[in-house]
Parts: sequence; structure tokens; C-alpha cells
Amino acid sequence: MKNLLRKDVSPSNPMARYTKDMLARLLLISYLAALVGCVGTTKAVSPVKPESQRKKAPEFNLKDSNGQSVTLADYKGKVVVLNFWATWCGPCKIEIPWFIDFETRLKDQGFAVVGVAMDDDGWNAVKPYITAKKVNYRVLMGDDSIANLYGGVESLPTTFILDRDGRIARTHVGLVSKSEYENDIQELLKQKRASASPFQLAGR
Amino acid sequence: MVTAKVGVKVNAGFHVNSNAPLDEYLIPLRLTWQAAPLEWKGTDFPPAKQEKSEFSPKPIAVFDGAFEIASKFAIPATAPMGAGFITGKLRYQGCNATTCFPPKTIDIRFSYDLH
Repeated sequence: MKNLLRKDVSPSNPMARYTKDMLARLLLISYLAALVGCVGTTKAVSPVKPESQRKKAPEFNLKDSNGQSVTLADYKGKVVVLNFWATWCGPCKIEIPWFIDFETRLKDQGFAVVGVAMDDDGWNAVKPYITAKKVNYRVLMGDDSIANLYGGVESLPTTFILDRDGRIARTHVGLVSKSEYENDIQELLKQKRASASPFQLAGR
Repeated sequence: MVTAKVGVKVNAGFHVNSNAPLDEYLIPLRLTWQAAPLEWKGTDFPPAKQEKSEFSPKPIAVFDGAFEIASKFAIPATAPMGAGFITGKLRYQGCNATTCFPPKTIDIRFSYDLH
């Protein structure tokens, strides 16, 4: 084949002897359809689970933006919004101002928002964002381990609402409305701790 | 110069960020090649669709539906004759109106036959 083409080639342009034939073959052989696998749907939401059906949220130990270790046990006795998000996730960023508002209004009632950032670029990506948006709640750096603990977290945002006993009372996969969060939180704030003792021990 | 076209189909209701998504935090669509012995000379993406979003003051640039990305390759005179292949990686990050999926990379392989 090489010899067959040689007589058609201009000596001043040696590349020309391959190009025409290769173009035809590339187009013939190599058209590739890459199906982008964005499969999945936003799961239907359910109301806050009855207390008897709630499961304990998995314990974790993650670092915050100051390098401090944070565990779920640090939030014992509080209603917690545990929000998995990333700076590249548009719908997650719609929720952030709501969470800032909840933290401001409800933190004195035994409530906290905890963000778990899932950015591959780590704090390099997350710190500038949370600083620019004046995020007033604690943000931790997530990884595959915590995602697996919480069922995989295959899409963002995924948010777990925990009762005062650290049990998962509701899960939201995908963006929901601010009022839906507010209703969940208010309902859980009204509930007493199941494990709380009616008596308090006096200090030493 | 030869052109290799990569056809992409995004499932209905979803989009991927364009190669220039207009928001610094969004992950752009990227197509990169290990082209040797060919020489990768650049990639042309189609015009992106501009979409308004609640999370960004500016519209974002996305692709949806079916589209093609075209990469150009030069064939050096020193390229050996015969069959070969080049490999590429397509990195994308997709979302719908309420949910985003983590970035993924698809491996691409083109066969060729130099005569």
C-alpha cells in the first residue's frame, strides 16, 4: 500500500501521502458515541420518620477548615442538618443561604448545620467559597469513607436531618424547598431527647 | 491534518457543563488525548447553551442532548505505517435541576490504519 501511494505524493509534502487515506479510515472506523451516564433521579421525599423507625446516624471523625477534628458526638443533644455538598454543585449552592439563615435563627435552640464538602480539590476549592459566602456553620472535608458510611451519597446535595438523639429522621436527595427543611427542623426541635434523663446530676 | 469526532449524548433532563462554563467553581468538559505517534492539534467544542441559574448571577454555559466534539491531529512523516490507536479521556460533570453527580471520566479509543 505504501508503494502504491508513493507516486501520487509531492516530495515537498511527505505528510500528504498518509493524510487522505487515513482521514477516510478514521472517519469510517472510528466514530465513537460516548453516552454520558447521567442516570439517576431525585428520590421521592418522605416526611420525618416516626421515632421508632429512626436509625442511628453513623459516627464520623472529620477535619474542619481549621484542621480541628469534629465528630458527630460533638453534636449530642442537638438537631443537626448534615448536608453533603460541593462547590461544583449548583443546586447545593441554592441551599447554602437557607442553612446560614437556619444557623443564625435556631442555633440557640439546640440546632446546628454541618456541611460535608465532597470536592476532590479539598480546602483549596472549599475555603475560598465558604469565606466568600460568609458561611456561618461548620464545614468539614468529606471523603469516600464518610460517603460510604451514609449509604454512598451518589449525588449532591444529599442531606440528613438528625434528631436530638443522633438518629436520622429524614433524608433529602436533591434540592428541596426551604420550607420543607424548616418544617422538618421545627418538628424535631419540639421533640425531647428519648435518652434524656428526667434528673440532672449536680456538679462535683 | 485529520479530524476525529466524538459523539456525546446526554440523557434527557440532564446537562453537562460546557468546556467554558462561565462559573469558576463549575467543572468544565475536558477532552484530552494520548495521541502519539500522531500530534494532537486542538479540539473544537460546539457552541454552548446559556442557562440562567438560581445559584449564579451570570448564566452558565452547558451542553445537553446530542453533540459532537472534534479533535484535530497531524500525522508526522515519521509516523510508522500500519494499524494503531490513540486514547483519550473525556471528563464531564452532569446535573439536572435539583441534583448533581460527581465528575466522571470516560476512556475513549480510536483505531486507525496508516497506509
